[in-house]
Amino acid sequence: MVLRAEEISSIIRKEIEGFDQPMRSVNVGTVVEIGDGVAQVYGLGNVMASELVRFTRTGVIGLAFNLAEETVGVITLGPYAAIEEGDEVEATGTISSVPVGDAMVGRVVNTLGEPLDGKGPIETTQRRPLEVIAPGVVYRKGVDTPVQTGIKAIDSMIPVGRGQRELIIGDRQTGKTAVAVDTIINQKGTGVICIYVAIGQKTSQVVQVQGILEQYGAMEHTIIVAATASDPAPLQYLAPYAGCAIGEYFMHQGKDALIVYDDLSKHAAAYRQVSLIIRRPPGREAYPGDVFYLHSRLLERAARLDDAYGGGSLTALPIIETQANDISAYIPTNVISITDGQIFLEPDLFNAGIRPAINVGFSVSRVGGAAQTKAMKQVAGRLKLDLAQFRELAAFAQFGSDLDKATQNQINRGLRITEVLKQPQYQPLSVAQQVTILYAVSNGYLDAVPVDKVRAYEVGFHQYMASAQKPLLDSITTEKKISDANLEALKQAVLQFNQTMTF
Amino acid sequence: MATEGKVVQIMGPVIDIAFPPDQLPEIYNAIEIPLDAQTVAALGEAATGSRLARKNADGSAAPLSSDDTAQGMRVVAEVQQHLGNDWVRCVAMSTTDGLRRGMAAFDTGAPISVPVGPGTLGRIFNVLGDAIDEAGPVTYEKRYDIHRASPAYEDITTEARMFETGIKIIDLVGPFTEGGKVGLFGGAGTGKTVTLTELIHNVAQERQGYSVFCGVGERSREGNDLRHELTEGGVIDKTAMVFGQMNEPPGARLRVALTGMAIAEYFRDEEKRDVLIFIDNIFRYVQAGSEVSALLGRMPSAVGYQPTLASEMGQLQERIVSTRNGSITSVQAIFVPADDYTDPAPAAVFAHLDATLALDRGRFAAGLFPAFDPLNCSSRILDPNIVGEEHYQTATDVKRILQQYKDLQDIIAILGTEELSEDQKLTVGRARRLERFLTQPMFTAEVFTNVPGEYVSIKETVRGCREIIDGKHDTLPEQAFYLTGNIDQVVEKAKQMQA
Repeated sequence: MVLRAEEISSIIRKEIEGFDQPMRSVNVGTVVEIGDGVAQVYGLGNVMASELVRFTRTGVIGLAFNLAEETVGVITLGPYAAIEEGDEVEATGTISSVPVGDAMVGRVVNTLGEPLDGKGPIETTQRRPLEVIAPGVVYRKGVDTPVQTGIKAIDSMIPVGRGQRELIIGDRQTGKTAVAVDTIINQKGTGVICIYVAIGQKTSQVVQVQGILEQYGAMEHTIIVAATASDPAPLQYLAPYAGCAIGEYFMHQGKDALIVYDDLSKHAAAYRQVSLIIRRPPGREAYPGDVFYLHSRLLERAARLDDAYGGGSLTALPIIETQANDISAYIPTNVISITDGQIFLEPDLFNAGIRPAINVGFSVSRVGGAAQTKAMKQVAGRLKLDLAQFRELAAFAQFGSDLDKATQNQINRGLRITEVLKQPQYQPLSVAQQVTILYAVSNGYLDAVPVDKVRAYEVGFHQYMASAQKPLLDSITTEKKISDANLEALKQAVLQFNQTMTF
Repeated sequence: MATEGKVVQIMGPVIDIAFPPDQLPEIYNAIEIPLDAQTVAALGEAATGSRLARKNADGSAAPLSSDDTAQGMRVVAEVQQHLGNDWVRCVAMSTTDGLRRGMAAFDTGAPISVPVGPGTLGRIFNVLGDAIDEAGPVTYEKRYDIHRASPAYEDITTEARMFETGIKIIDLVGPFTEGGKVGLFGGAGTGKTVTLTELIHNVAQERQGYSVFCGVGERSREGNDLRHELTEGGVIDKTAMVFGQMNEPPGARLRVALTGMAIAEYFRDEEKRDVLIFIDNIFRYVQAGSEVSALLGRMPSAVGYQPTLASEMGQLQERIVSTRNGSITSVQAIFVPADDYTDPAPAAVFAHLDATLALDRGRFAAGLFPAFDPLNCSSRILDPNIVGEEHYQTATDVKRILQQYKDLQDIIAILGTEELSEDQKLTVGRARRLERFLTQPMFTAEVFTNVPGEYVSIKETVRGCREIIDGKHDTLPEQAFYLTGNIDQVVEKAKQMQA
């Protein structure tokens, strides 16, 4: 074989010319310790606090949270069993973030924004950091547009506005998720993008929620972020922040979004696990000292932005599961003190057939009143106070026989209102429907109807209104208030319907 | 030339910085860490803290001004400890995300200082004294360090004069002292903030003095609501507002109360004025301390709180005091975690207060607003020599009757009212009427109750309660007493109901 020097040198020259590999400094380290999902890494000299890192051999992503002088504490965000001492870790240069964008809508993703639903990759170009400081005081605007849940008891007495944080709280199996799912279903056609974040739930339940949303055509405006019970605790801990970042994208676009965190009790437990493993000292109920900040910085990110800043909104419906009905436990009171009100569901009411099982006395909405439509305010303005007083009175007077007439009337009315506020699942009602039936009951037109016939009355009433009084319903819907003329027409309609009913 | 150090460790909000030997910053000095281009790029919009870019008409983001970025593009930390080996341990006032070891840190040579004086009125500040209301630069002649000594023993004065709030239940059983300290205790969602806002409405608007509102670890939304409330009430130009809300890292919540105090102290000490300070919520100050305590290397104390809880509280509370120069009247909301009044944090506040008012969840659920439990309210000046015999006697009688009703409640729950003696029935009837009479529609709660607010003078309150105790209104329906103003309105409402 003959070696021709010029040929070799030309090849080498060509190679050198073609070599335009930019200078790339790789920030690497070595695992010295790994266990329970937390690794101590030596090196990573230039890593940022909260930067994402990658375990080169296994491809698992981690989060640099503790930067000590010599080592870096890394929380692994994936299966860590295969990571070994001595493995290489490289910094990625990005602060923990998720992909966001319109393409996410209709999809089911994990905490890192990777699709779980087998419908192929998600085409997005933008990312948003998991953690941002919530908008400050002056960037916000008062709540002024309602989020209609379609549930009478909520829309009338505990109204939720866009940009509000309303907690759904109650024991297990009291219909918390049902309220949230009903609300998502009722957002169909309103332009509100919904995000359902499942934290620490069993996977089958998430699949079931997806199924229900698909069945009612609500998946088209919904994103599900799932960190299920089998996912590592750090993923469960970060899932709500991921969901929130995805929601914020829409808010900053000037759109309206709604996010459900199901549920934050499991989230707190996941964070407690992470926190104890990294040896932060336990406080009350073994939660770390910053468990309040864990939830406050998340929920504060739900906001209604001022028009100068796009005017978008992010409404949050966090869910908390209580034990034995105790809303004054640590995590529940923490979250109550963050949110703008709570919807309290009680097993006693649930078992007594009052569904949704809302305890009106303990439920409150601190800002939603400002967002309620005028029509609803007209009929339901004092409903909550009356009902709370009725409950107190009913308990006090249950043995009394010599009640004055005013008290008796109050109790009778209260019983019928309670009956009217019952509502089956997946049957949201329009504002006009809610307004008309509440008008009828709170003005005493149902006082003659036996309590056990009230449900039947309501079904008949809605049918009658939809068929015979359609223009009236439409008029209330478009005017958003009950004009004097409509008030009279409504009164006549109710009287007319009452004549057709026999008991 | 500011001394330059290097960041060596970052543990959440706690940063360790190494300085050259013999040039260590003093404890409480502010350290500035400028963010470099790499960090800013990685943080993206998170680099500007809680600030947002204004949107153009077409929806695109307008660029941040240099003023905007100057605030966001640095991390300020406060020295807490000298660790030895020329390291100092600091707490950051903003998020530490994106910081790297080895970054330069500069000793400013002084503690965090904030603008004080008339220029602060009508403005909103963060913990660092930066205006966060997007209303341009603040004009000021002086800055105060946020860490200041409490006034000397000989300068402190106490007065024993009541001032009226117009809220029946407060004036009756927990009257406020001019220049004193009042605590509103309550579990989550029992109405602390609404009551505080109502007090601002009733008190700040009536008085000529200046007010300082200090939002510590509460909802950002409320800050916005408050600003509108003050603007509508026309008192915004007599109020300075300082916010370190629950969206901010623990460092900001730990120090923001001091920022508020510095502004109030200026008005007291240099302008010799009477100042009102509202703090919502002092519990969050303790909470922020407990969040960083472990990271500072302290052993946890009871329920995981910081071992320094009582002394931290003492240092702050002893500054909120009236002196010969001027008075500071403070109203503080105190969150009660898990409704547990024995929790170390609320327990630590009790000793510092002249009047304590406790909100009760049961009353809240029964719709008795404001949901104070009269049996759990007290005031140092509820004394016949100060408030007068009539007021004192009425308050005592009201408490006595409510206590009797409370004792009877178990019997009623089991046997019903029928089993009570005639005397007992009378007591129960009056107690229930008193309970309802002590509810009140509030100006700032009209959105919830749809009942317009009422201001009731203490004279009217005492007269009303006295008449109920004396049995003048035993025949009126209970409902007539609910959410009304003075007793004449009750009689009027009863007439309408019976008609």
